[in-house]
Amino acid sequence: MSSSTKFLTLKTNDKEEFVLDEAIAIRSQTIKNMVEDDCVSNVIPLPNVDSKTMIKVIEYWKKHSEEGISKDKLMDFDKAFVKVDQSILYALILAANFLNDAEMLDMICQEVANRIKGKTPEEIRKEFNIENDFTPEEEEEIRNENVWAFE
Amino acid sequence: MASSREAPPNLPFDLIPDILSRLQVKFLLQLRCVCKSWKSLISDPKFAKKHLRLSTMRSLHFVGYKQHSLGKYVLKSYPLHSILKNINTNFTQFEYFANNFDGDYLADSFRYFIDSCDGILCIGGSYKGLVILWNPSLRKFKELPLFEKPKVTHLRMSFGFGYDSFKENYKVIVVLHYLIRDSTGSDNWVHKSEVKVHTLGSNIWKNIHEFPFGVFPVARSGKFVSGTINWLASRQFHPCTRSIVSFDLAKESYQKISPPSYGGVDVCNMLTLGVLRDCLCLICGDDVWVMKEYGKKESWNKLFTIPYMLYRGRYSIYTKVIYVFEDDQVPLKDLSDSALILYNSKMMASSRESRQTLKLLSSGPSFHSQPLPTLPFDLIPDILSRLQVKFLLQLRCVCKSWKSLISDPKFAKKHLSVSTIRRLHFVNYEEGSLREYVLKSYPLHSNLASTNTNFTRFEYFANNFDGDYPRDSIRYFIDSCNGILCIGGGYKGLVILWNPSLRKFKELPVFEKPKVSTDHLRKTFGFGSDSLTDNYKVIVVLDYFIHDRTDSDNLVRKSEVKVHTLGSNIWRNIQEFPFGVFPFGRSGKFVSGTINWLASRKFYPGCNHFIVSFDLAKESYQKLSPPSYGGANVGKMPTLGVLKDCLCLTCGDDVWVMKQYGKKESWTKLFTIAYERDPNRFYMYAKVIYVFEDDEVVMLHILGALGLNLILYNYKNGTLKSINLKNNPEVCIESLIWPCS
Repeated sequence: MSSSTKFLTLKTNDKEEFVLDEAIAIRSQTIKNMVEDDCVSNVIPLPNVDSKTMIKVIEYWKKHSEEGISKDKLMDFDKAFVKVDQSILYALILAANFLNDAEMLDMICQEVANRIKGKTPEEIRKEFNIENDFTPEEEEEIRNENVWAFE
Repeated sequence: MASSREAPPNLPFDLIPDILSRLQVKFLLQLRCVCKSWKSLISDPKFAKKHLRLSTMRSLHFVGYKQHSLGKYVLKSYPLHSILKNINTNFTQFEYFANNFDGDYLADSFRYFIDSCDGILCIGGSYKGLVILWNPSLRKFKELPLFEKPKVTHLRMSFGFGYDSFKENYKVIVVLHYLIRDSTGSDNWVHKSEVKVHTLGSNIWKNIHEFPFGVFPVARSGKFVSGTINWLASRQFHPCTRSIVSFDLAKESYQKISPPSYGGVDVCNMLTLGVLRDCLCLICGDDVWVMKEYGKKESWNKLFTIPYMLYRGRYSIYTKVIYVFEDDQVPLKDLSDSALILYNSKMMASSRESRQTLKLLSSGPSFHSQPLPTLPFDLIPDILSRLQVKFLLQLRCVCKSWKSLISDPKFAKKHLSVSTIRRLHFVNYEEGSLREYVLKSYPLHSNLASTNTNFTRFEYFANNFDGDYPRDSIRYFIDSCNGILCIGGGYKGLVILWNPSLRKFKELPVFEKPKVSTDHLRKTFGFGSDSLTDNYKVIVVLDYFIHDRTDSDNLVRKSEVKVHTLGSNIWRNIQEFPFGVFPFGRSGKFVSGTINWLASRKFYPGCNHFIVSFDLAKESYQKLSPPSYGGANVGKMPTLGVLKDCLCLTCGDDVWVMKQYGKKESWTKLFTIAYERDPNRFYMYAKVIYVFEDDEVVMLHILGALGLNLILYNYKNGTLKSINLKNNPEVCIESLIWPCS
């Protein structure tokens, strides 16, 4: 075996193919497991990720794999990276979850959390597509348990 | 001066519209309930016009649809200035179910904004041609009647929406453009158009004469400016040469408008029309043109050129300019990937126009057409665990599964592991009411020195505090662990747990004390978590003198040690304090599963002190060596603390941390206190309360005669700030943890 770079081909659900250095791609625990289990032929299908999202993910992986990049630069990059529309952010969180990239998932969870800070329960139900399954009386009771928290 | 305020004079009513017309619509809707005359004023169309003239508030709107529910329009409204700050979370979301949207439709359910005029947005939907008017400030919707469509397969629709100042009403126009065979049996297709106008309030779409000049509109909508709708038009579907056709809404007549003389620039790029600063705007290639005086060819003016760099080398199909801010910032919509770009066109500074009246709203692009996916529930704990406790308590009422998640002890642990918010707490008692505990909580941040007014005050009345007590009613923090503070009380030995983030208190049962005079009894506590049983324990060491025989005057020193496991009702006696030493200080410090005390043979520590550690899981003692001070003056009282999850020992002016718990060789000198002290005061000993990331520490210096000095000290650069709080603080992290039922 030579030490030359190994490449993997990732195929998104819209049939786009991405050729990527294995060392970068295994930032994804999911891909890493597949590589380690030797169940990779030539193309790794990513049925839960579309190409638009994958471009962003690869942009992140490449930046975070750059040699000698400073912490400050990475922080600036991360900050800019999550400044995207909510729909893209959601696509990214689902991708990070599927690819099992803890670092990226952590960052996006923080951004989603930052965006819901200060919103009312009603707004949050909308945001997360949640149906309110409390009766008005039940909801009132929960509110009364910690009235101070709603002040 | 008279102290009583006189009623202000009545304002004449004709000034009221001038005042109210400057207010926001939402607020005005509230003011409708002030009185009858205000209600009728605010509902008056004349007032609405006056208000519109003065209105400057604009929002950016997006339209999309809900998947699986094509009749549902999802509309979002963002304050326009928010895109300048890159904050786009502060939006309002609206949903609208179309009535005319019955039956099953083709998947083609594109929704788009036709235009906006005087605060009203006009929305088009492509299949059935449903048109909806929406005033987002009033949150009012209106569906227009459906028009009849020619029975053809090759149909394109282009709309326009605007105000007819002659009839003082709004009109919607639709151009239906289609291909039809020129005669039966022939294979020759010809382009045809039908044009229909709907005047608001009527029930019909009136047919008017067809689209002129042998051309057809190329976009889904024309743009309203100066009383006319303007389309880019061409002879075929996708041409290079284009003209502008204008339709006068009052006269209902067409006119041809000349585009700018591009001056040799490649015009094969897609052109787009828009409205900027009330002028018709045309984008050709990378050039943005405005027609300063409507209808005058010579008034076309190049506003700016979009630099190639903006696209970062990507292929861009065409660009739309959405709005121009006063400071020349321009949001652009790059249609190659529907990105919204904010661009500051400095060049415009020279061609800045004086502003005229503003419309209430500006229409936005419609790239939000994908509904947000629902996140899988296993991601929710990851997201919620980053939020503040107070906010989480609100979120308990979102739904049942969130409520049980937030109440789940496992989630509390996850939340604790990412929690970073810490607060400084102080405990005291109210003079005249010894039962009352007064507790204060301050945010812990490095500008603690300048602002410490932002605190929360709590009061707690102890139940186990019955009867009259001696004046000895000192309250102190024993320790904090996982967001729970443990408070000790002097006389009766009452122990109270408090989670300040949850505002919950719990009194522990009172333990039995040896029957000796209180003068001869010393207590020291410890509080921490037992990782083995996943529970919390409080330990008390009672250290006292007793006659060695009933008939003797000889006093001997003894200790009793009791442990209380949370949830139980008792204090268990365990083996006495070991190594022939006695702990000093009112409490031991919890770190790495153990409680740690400084101890020595004598009451007051000299040179022969060491650390006694009590393992909360094993309930066994261990001896730990203090650092090798290396000849430093150890005559001063050493103190124990916890810094960055490490045991910390301050001795003299040296602050040491044990980087690996239990390893003597890992003792490292963090810093030496080197600030100048008041020569007139006696500095007894120092305690480091907290270390910030930037090497700034919160320090407590105990002075003679029980004076305290709480300071912020940066040991890297020596800066010193005094904190104006006169008490002994305890740091506690925010958490949801509450192990008591």
